[in-house]
Amino acid sequence: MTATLIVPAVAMVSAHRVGVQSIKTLVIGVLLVVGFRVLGKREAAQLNVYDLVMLMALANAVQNAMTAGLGDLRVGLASAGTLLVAAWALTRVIVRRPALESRIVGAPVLLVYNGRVLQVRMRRNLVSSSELDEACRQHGVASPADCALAVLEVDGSISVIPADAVAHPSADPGGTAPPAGLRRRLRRTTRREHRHGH
Amino acid sequence: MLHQVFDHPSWHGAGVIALKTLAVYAFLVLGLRLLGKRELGQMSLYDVVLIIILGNAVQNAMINSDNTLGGGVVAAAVLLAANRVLNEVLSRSNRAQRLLVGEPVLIATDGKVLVEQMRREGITPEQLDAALREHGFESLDGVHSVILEVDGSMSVIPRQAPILRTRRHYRGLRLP
Repeated sequence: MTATLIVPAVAMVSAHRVGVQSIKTLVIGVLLVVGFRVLGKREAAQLNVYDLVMLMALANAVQNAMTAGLGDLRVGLASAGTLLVAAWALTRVIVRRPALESRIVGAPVLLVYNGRVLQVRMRRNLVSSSELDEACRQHGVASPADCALAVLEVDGSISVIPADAVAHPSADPGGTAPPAGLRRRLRRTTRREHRHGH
Repeated sequence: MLHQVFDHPSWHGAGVIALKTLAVYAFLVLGLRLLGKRELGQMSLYDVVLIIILGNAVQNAMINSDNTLGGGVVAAAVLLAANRVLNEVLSRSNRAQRLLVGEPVLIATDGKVLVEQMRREGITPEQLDAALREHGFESLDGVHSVILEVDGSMSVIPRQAPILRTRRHYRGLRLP
């Protein structure tokens, strides 16, 4: 009884086949990570409905390539297991070598500095001006011109620091220096923006 | 074993998959636009379920019941690329953004509720009060404006911040 439940007699799949499918799954997993890094949108947190439907269709588009369309339990377990192990391995690698994180996951990007919108960064990260305006308003700031900083975070959300918050004594008594971690990036950004004439 | 892993559809088959996937994505974008469900933040569980089963419904139409690695990769690449193109267009053209994603709507300004706008967007007074409370306001006193964003959330901009007093017009907002 249990045996027929686990391994249906109709479609016996060889161990070889299971191995083939788990390698296929791994290839697809790697290609999707690369594909999202190259073509994907950074703002995962600001998905619109078209992004969501793309994700759902994408998952289904690769389904048959991973499972061979067999509906076989062992193949399903093997490909699911492969994905889980690959994700675990990736996390381990990132924990061991944090330098890889910015390469694979991405680093925060400054979008506004002292009320000035950094257009090159905006375009490269596919943030539209209306999305930036929206993020500012959601943080209670009327427009990017009133931001000390707006940062596209790694998780895809946009953080906004209002112009007057920087003057707050606990935040930064000296002036409008950006918070730690963004200083080096900012110098590079402003140089580049300068070259582009913004 | 390797040739079993890297099996691929014929060139013709790959082309068919690419075109079908493109057609399916275009159809889904158009369909969702016509249904008018654009506010992800306001989606109910049923809307999310709808999108998930939409993905399942179009599966075989996209990949032709093709079980090869190449077939899946072609379909996935076309979907990613089509979505990228859409997002490029949306981030460049304000018109496309307005048309496909919608635009923010002013709900209240200077202590007055814009009843007509609220009614048109289907916002109830209870929802407005809830949004105000979420931002720590009891009433519209001290609130500069309330805006319904395209993702369905409501932004509350306080009157307090000094710079906000000087700013009357918001970029990207059509005032009544």
